[in-house]
Amino acid sequence: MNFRTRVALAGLPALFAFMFVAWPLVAILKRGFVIDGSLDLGAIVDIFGSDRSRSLVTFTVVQAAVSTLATLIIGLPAAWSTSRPWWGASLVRSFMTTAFVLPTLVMALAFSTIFDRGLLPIVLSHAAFNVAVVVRIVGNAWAGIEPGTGDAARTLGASRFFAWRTVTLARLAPAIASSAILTFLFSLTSFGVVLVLGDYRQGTIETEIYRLSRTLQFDKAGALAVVQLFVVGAALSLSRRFSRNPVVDLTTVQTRQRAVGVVVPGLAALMGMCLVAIPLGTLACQVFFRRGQWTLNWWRALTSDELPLGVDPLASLGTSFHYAIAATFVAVVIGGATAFALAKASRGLRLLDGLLMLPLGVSAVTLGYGYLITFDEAPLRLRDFYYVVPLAHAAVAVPIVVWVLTPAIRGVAPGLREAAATLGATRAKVFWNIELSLVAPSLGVAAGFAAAISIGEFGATALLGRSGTATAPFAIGRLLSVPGETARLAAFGLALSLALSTTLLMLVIDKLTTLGIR
Amino acid sequence: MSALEVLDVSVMRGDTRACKNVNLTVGNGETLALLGPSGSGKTSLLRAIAGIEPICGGSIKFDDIDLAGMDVARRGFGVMFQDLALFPNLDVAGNIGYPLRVRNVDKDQARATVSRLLEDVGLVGMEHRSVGELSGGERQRVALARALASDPRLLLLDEPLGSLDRLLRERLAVDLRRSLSSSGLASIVVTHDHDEAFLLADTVVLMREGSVVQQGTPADVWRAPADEWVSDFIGNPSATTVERCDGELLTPWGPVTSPGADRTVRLSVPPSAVTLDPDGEWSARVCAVRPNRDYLKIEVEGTDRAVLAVSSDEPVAVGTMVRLRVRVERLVLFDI
Repeated sequence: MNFRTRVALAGLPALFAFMFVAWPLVAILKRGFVIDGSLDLGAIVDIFGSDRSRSLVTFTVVQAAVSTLATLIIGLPAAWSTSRPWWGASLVRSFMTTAFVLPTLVMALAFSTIFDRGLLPIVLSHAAFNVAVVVRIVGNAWAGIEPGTGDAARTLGASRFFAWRTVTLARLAPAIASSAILTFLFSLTSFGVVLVLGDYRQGTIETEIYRLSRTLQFDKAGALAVVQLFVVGAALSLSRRFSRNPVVDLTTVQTRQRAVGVVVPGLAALMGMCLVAIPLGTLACQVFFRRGQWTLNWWRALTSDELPLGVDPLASLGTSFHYAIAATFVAVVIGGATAFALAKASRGLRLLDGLLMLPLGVSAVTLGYGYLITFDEAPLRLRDFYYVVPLAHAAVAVPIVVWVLTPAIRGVAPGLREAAATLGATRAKVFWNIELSLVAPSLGVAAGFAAAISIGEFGATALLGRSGTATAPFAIGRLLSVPGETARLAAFGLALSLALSTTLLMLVIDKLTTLGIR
Repeated sequence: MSALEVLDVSVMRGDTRACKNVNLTVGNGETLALLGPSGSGKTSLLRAIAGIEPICGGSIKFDDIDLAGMDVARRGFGVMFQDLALFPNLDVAGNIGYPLRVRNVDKDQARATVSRLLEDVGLVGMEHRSVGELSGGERQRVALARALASDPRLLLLDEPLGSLDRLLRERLAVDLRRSLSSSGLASIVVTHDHDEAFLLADTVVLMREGSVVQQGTPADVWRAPADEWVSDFIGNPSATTVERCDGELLTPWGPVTSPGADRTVRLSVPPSAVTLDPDGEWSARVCAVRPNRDYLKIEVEGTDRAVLAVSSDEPVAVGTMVRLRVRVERLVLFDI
């Protein structure tokens, strides 16, 4: 593909990035800094003036830091275990990846069946999500280290520890830093988990933006959103010192490590697996198994007329799937065009990449808030548009789609294109017959991830959703906010259905991965 | 006196014995080549000597001290690995200087040592290149320099010219030979290439399926391969079955004197054993003429279509009959 084609291809993503990422974010900044047409830092200063806000920001950062530490402690052994050749390696990888895309509310509910509200369950569920990040990034890096280099260091006189530190650890360090940065960002901007598991008095910036927006205090919410943007920005720029742009390679690399049997890798991965399996198992037990016997009460609760007005769990599941399809379509088109345009890096296009990757760091709640204030007035009164929720989902899913597709596209041997061209194929034909068909399995994988993200997305949905456009996570949120056993059981049942859908999606993805690429 | 003694050593690899009761010795300043096809156990033996693999029988001694239980790091053997095992996170100087860093050598002194080694292997000024961007030959040289930088008592080289193209191999082989002899170290070179083994080594040890089948100087091995397998492996033409009768071998190309009892033997005729000569005792028909770098390779066939190669300076037409002179002492004979 020549430069011009790539620029043309980048047009649609650029428009999307401008409309649904850049503009809302600029609107937030404008709202925070400009009051009545002139620069006014009052709202921001007020935030740092108030004890409540200061403790909010502190708690947000501290819980993210502790979560990152916990994720590394649990994730590094698991990453090591997946870097070794044994039958469980791919199982651990798939299992943790499924946990990664599990709806946040599901994970939060699962942990709520074991723990009371507080810092511990927040940290543990953040770890349960992000162990996958460590497993993927560090595990792949570990798998790629030739065991011969360790032997070489030893023959050159290095002690076991010195060899490990200078050869293995030195090469893992960038990967560990990348995964720590991503985990920190994800924990910093986590919403559903904190909403369900956090202490009532102690929220994070995210939950506070949500609370303020819901109570129509848009100015205060705006100021906090600006603070959130700055915290995230500071974390990102700090991270640049330690590592390149963190990228999760979702393909699996062939390991070069020597086999060490099954027992030790199994034990190393056990903690991470249990962290996910035990809470989910407890949740399932609470739904299906009551007072020592199997029960269908959860199903009755889902269709019960005792539920709060305007909450229809089954209809919300339908809406979720409907939105998932729409969001997946948009994300794959936008992310696909981006990945193809960016297959070879060039400066202008990299800016687009950076813009589209922003939703990874910027929280979904902030994005949702941006949509609320941006698309508030004619001619773009999109807040009432039925598909505004899936558009936000797509914005969140695009980075993952790009992650999945980029290595696959780069992996297409350039020789193939040239070979096809010498056989008389036109450029369009080469693209259609060779590149697209080779990348097709990865497109499937990307679509699966996009769908999973849309199904589980709660941050933007919580702000943008209304009864008419309630997704399943939105309905769970509503159900949790009212008292009563039926509502609670319905929420659990709905959560399990979501978990099941996501797991099915991941199984399909797994099949696709083994079918196609590498 | 021998520096390294390998006595009756066996090495396990998985569930099979990769080396069976191997004996060999290498003296200071001597180079020994372990020659054999892949899977013959030569790499396993090398790794066992280095201390990376454990041995399951026998003993390895260096300067009369048994190495059993001695840590890899304390053996002081420089190893050049088959895949080179350069550290990708370090640059050229970082790789070569690694053993100096391990020993806490003073920084300036280490820098001087590294640049001297770079000079020795012909990579002057490449200190800060990343090892990823080096060519195959350059990587090979860095690996050698790194092995030498640890100031080893013994050099162990696993396929040191491994994956290089032929031209580069030949050039580097000469350089390597010079490095080995100027270092004055005992060294072992593992290779599957007989030309390389004969070029580099003072002693060649041929291994097959974990056992030593022959050891001796290159000249000995050339002159008298221990058996037909060795003969085939070092590149002699495949043997034919011939009868010996009244002190004469009855070959497909004619008879030749060969003292010994009457019996059936196998005969391989290396190209160096025959020359074109109008007064020669054998006769055969030319069936192919192939140009080589500085001579022509003439293939002739005798009875039973048994083909034999001769080198010649003059072109010969295909189909003509030629006579061959035989140098009896160069014929390779095996009992059945």
